[in-house]
Amino acid sequence: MRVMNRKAAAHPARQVVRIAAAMFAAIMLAVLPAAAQPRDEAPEDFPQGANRDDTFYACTACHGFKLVAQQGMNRRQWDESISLMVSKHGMPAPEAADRDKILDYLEAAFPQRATPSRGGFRNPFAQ
Amino acid sequence: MAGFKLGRDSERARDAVQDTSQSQGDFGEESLTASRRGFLGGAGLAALGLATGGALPLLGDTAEAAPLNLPPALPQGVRQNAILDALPGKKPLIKLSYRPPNYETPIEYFRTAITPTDAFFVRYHLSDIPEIDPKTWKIDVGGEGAAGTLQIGLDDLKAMPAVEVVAVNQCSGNRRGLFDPHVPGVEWGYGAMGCARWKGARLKDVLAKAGIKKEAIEVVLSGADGPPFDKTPDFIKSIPVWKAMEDTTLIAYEMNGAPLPHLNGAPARIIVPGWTGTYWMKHINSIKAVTTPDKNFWMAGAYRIPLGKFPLVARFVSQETAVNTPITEMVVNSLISSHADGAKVKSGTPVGGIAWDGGYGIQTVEMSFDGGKSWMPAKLGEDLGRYAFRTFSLPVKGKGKITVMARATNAIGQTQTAKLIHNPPGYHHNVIQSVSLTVA
Ligand code: HEC
Repeated sequence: MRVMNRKAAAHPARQVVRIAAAMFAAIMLAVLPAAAQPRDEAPEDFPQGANRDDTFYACTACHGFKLVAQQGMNRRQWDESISLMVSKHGMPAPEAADRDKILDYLEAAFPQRATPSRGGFRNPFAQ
Repeated sequence: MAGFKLGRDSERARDAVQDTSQSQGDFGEESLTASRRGFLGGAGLAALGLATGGALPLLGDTAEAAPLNLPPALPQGVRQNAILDALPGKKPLIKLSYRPPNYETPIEYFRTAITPTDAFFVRYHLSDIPEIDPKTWKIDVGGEGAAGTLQIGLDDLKAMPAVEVVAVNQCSGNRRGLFDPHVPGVEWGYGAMGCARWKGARLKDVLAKAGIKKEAIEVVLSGADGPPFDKTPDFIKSIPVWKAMEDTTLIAYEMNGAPLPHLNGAPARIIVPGWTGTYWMKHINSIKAVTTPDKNFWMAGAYRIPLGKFPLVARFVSQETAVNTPITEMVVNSLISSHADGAKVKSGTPVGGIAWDGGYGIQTVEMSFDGGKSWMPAKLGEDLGRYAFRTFSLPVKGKGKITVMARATNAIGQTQTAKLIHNPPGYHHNVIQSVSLTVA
């Protein structure tokens, strides 16, 4: 893997992502019987809204969109999240207009939630 | 690299995504199904005979995605998309993300002190997870804090004195999804933890082979998994030398009597009993003694807790700042796992679960059947050592609808908190739990 990454450093960065994702898939496919393959995701799995597909592809180079969709945050918090991806995780900074589009979608699709329960722990089987 | 435009890079990311989704079928439809049955089907576990310690009929070996109900306190995005899904060699677990794989253990598996290997949770930060040939795999041991360097393979490790320890491996962020207000991260419920019998060589014996210098302050650990994108920092952690030298800090190659499964760190991983899972490096391939504090992102920029907020003993002094410290040992905690909330039980039925802490050992677990007004000591189960889950139970008392609570205390007098201790990364959730039961 390290070798792969080093070799790929000469290629456009996105190529690295593509190769790595393919390799991950290959590994998972290698160990799994065909019928038992957990499936990865598509934009259609997530709430509809303007800029959904672009946001999906901007945020899925390193991890699945499920990691994004399980958050519930306001625009400022989403903006901080993107800043973290750029400053700490090496995401190429999106251009301002694109960042706004991404934020529009994230804020609308995964808003800060009104918590159903105040006060910490809820029983695992409640509902 | 300069800024990227959505269109162009989207194309490429799209390719990457398509490469990972080669199977047919439509995960989307399943996850979005409006009318879904809870995986408990509304029936209490007791009604299904689970509380008596029988097999778990709910979870088959099928990899078919099954919908499930999760607590309302979890973020909507978790509840909307959560499904049970089986990774290679695993029972269906609760999927938080597939790339990288983050899967938690359903609560039914926490009725015993040992968590079955095939139900043990899976956590990765970075999605480039290599296949490893155990025959050619080697750990590089060295660093400026070591007198020499060496390479050590699986057979070398197995030839060294073997140590076994039963220890809880819990993600620092277990129960993060229950934080209110929300904190970003993997939104775990209760199952980002497990307890196993680990077998391996002592880390200190391996370090002794390289010769550790007295100036060494930390031991830096790195594994074979890495980022899919080379500008993303690799996952690297360090532990203080004193912790590395403890007799129970291991390079483990066995889990519950069998070779480590790949997704839990094969061929070998680091075991740091008492400390949160972040230090338990999987697929370990580099161990370096160093004389200055490690500064990489995963030490300096993540896994930190505010100073002074938690009642912890173990310190990681070389990494402390004026405001925060790396997370170290686990806080004392318990989980009621015998019954579903709302279950109907006969008076006198044993109700209980598991308790654990950062390695001082569980002293008592008290239970309340009246919402915390009065407390009684529960009966503790077998003692598998101070780093293990300890089971507890008590025959339920009362009539009608009652609130059951459990509160664990460890050997140094630490106990669970009544009110969440908020912290930005969402660590150390050990709020006292309450479950309502109807006693007939
Ligand atoms: C260059 C790689 C990369 C890209 C691109 C990327 N992320 Fe991340 N992201 C990461 C890494 C690495 C983590 C840490 C994963 C972990 O700890 O499990 C992470 C974690 C997260 C988390 C969990 C919270 C946290 O702080 O760890 C959120 C939310 C998130 N990313 C949102 C986004 C969004 C939104 C986008 C698109 C705008 C995005 N990411 C694009 C690398 C990336």
